[in-house]
Amino acid sequence: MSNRAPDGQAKLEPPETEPRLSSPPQSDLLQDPPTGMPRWVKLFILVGFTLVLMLGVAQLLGGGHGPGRHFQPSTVSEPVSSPPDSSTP
Amino acid sequence: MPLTAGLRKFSLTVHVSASVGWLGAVAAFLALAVTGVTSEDTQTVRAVSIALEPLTRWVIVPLALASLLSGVVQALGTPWGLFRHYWVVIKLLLTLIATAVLLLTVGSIRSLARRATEQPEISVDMQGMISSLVLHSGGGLLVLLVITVLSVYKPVGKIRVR
Repeated sequence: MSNRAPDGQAKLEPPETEPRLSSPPQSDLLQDPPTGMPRWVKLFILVGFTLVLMLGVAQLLGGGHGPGRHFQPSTVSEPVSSPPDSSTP
Repeated sequence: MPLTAGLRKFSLTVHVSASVGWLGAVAAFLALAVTGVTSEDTQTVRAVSIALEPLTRWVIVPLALASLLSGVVQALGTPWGLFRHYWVVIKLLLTLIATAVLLLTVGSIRSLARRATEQPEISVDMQGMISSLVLHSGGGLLVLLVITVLSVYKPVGKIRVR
């Protein structure tokens, strides 16, 4: 992040001030935001949307996983492994 | 409703402790769940299945709720606000999602522990439940790491209300 607007032109408006609760900002991320939604927020939304989409596709393709899974009654199925045989020494 | 300096420090201490504790507890949960998936020893898998329940009920859920509540108090009681900065809103959303998924998973964890206590053997669907818990806790850990990064870097961006 720099103190330039997304279109590459120098920003004319004064820098936005952050609440002074901690040490002064050190990172570029904390300086002079452009007007409108910052790029990192758009990236965040894009990544989040992609993840939700991927989860939806995985569910449609037979993953069968979703919140509903937690409400299904438990079923008893074949044991994978048997308990240790107590008769063996 | 701005907090006094003393209350703000106290609230911040609670928030940081609860949030970092939540992250650590989920990491411990993940380690146990991975052990449950990879182990071939029935007793180990049963022990893991039983141990996940108190870890969730007495550690993870209280820390998650404490983190959420103290975060809201912290936001409302300081100039950051709850809906003034993008990073605060995103952090709140991620925390709400993580808490909701956690609360939805508690039922499965309880059921798994009960069955591990009652049944001497490990069934296929019990192993499926543990695998699902690995996925959930792994995803949860990633979300909590993102939340931590947001809290430390506090990336710029004020929400402008027109």
